[in-house]
Amino acid sequence: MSDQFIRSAGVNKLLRPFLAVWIAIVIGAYLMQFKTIILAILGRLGVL
Amino acid sequence: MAVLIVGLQLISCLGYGALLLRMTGTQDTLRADEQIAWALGLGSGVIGWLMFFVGVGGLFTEAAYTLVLALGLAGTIYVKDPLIECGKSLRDWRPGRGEIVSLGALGLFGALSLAGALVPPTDADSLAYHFYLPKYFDSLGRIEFVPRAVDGAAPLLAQMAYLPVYGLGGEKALTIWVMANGWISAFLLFSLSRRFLSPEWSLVTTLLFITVPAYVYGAGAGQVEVRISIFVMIAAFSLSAAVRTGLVRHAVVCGIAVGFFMGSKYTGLLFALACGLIIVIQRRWFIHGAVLTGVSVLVGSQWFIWNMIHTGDPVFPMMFELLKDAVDYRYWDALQHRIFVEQYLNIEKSLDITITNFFGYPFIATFFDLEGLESSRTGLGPYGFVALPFAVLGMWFTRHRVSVNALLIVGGLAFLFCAIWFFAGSPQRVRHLLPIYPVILLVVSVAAVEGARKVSSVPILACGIVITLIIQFGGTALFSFGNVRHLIGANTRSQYIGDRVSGYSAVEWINGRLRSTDHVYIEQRELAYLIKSRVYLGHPLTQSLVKSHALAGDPQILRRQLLDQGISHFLLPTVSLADDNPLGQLVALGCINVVKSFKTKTLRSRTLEAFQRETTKTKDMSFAKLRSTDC
Repeated sequence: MSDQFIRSAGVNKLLRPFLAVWIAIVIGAYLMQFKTIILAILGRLGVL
Repeated sequence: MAVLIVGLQLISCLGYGALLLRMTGTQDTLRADEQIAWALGLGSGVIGWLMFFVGVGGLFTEAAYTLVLALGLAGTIYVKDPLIECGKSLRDWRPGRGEIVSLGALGLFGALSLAGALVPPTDADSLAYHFYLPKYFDSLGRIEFVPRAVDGAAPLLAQMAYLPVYGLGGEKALTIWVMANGWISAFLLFSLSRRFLSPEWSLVTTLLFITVPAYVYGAGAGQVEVRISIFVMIAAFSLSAAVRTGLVRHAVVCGIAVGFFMGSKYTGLLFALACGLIIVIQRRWFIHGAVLTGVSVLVGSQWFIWNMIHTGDPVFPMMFELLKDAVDYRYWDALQHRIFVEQYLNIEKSLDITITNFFGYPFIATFFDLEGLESSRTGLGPYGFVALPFAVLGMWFTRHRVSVNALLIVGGLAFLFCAIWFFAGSPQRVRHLLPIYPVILLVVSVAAVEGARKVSSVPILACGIVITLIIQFGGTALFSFGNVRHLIGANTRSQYIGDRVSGYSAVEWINGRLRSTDHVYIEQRELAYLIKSRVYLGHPLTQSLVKSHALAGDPQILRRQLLDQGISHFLLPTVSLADDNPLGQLVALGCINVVKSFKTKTLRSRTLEAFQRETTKTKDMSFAKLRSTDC
């Protein structure tokens, strides 16, 4: 797989949404472990 | 006064470190800002190293502290030029928008970390030994061997650097020093990042480091991981320079930094092994290997020799199985070792030691709130995974470039250390990897920025970083909330500690009544620093001089052990004095008289205390007196 191929317009068009979705999944999965704490704080602050 | 003392120690660090850089001939290989950062980092190690000898000589006095700090000032003549150069660079610096935002975020973090430094210490490990032992040694005027596994007979070089500030400026100077020392690691990471990244990306990398939960938790407390990260960064980049240039002087600096790590934590031995493995697979393997080994042993062996002199075991009590027939283990025995391994060491390993778990560890430690890893509360944040695809692309695109070799060696060292650390069966807490984290962070950031540039996705990476920083800043703000509230409110020191340390109300009561000659037996280790009298920490799993665990035999033997240690009083959970407990049997025999019982507050989390809805839980504690006459 050459550098040119990765940087080509077609691949890049697919790569960018993949990267964005990757970040969203990582952040979402990371925050899931704090679900209870986040809900407790939001409840305490009167947001929920 | 506290600020002045900390300032004096910082300048002294600068002087000692600059002197080391000058003596090793490496000063001119560093940029001006690097010279200052490296000097500060190395100097903090030098002070910790020197204080061992001062303590062994029984010279822990204000005069000795002042002399050690004053001697360091002499070395500052070697940092005059770099300081002037940095001043000029700062004057000419015109920060862009991104840099201004990053600086603002740094300022905000600085304010929160200052708030953490201005409140009394309440972290359990710090109260149990990181702060307690320096305080105790200062009161004795010397270092005393503490025959307790894990937090007594351990390498204490980093904690020794707390002594001059504590001895001259008291608790406030101590807490401000640990904050300042944390900032040295941030400054060092920034200056190393500048070798590969723009000022803007370097600031962002630094922000990503100082807002990870493990840093926020440990930097403002007495925890040593943040301080060790300074030595790791210096060692890693010196190793890289030694391999690439073949110059012995870099191996010397690497050996010094490795020695400081060894002298600060047992895992330093694993780091030394990782450095050694890298140094022997290159052209000048013999001379570099010999220098690295010789210097690191010379610098880092003091606490191992100290242990060996007192117990025969340099890593007391870890070599018990190996040395039990050759050494007189007067502070340990086979039963204690079995209890220690089964109930303490094995519990520290949440994951089986397999190849799958090794490669799965980063995933588990990032996304699962595994109690044994303490991964959510004191983890390393999501950045590693956020940047992963960008970093992979970056590594692919730069695979032919020789200039990235420096990071290749540094990254290889980090990987090797993590592998040795995991397969050696070390405790698996994520925060124990904090020392190596800035190195990993730097390698990942450089690769990720390169990858993002190549595929025109810098805004996507930036977006991921901003979200990561918002989350980590949220955590930092949450952690600091109680500190800020205490500082702007009218709470007393006593209220602040009482809200954060279980059982503190009982400590307050006994502090008003005990004499300085009394000797209090406790099992709740974080009370050690707070009790004004002398304390014996009788942890059933980590010490053997007072066998109070369930497997202890005759209560009269236990009574004799208590008397041998000069114990006069007890402050324990009431349950520890129940009939089915060895100490409870002494109560039944009339050897221990319960003087007073308390209902004390217990806490699950210092940080979340203000946000918890449920009513406060209480624990019964008892204060008791040991009869010195027969019973």
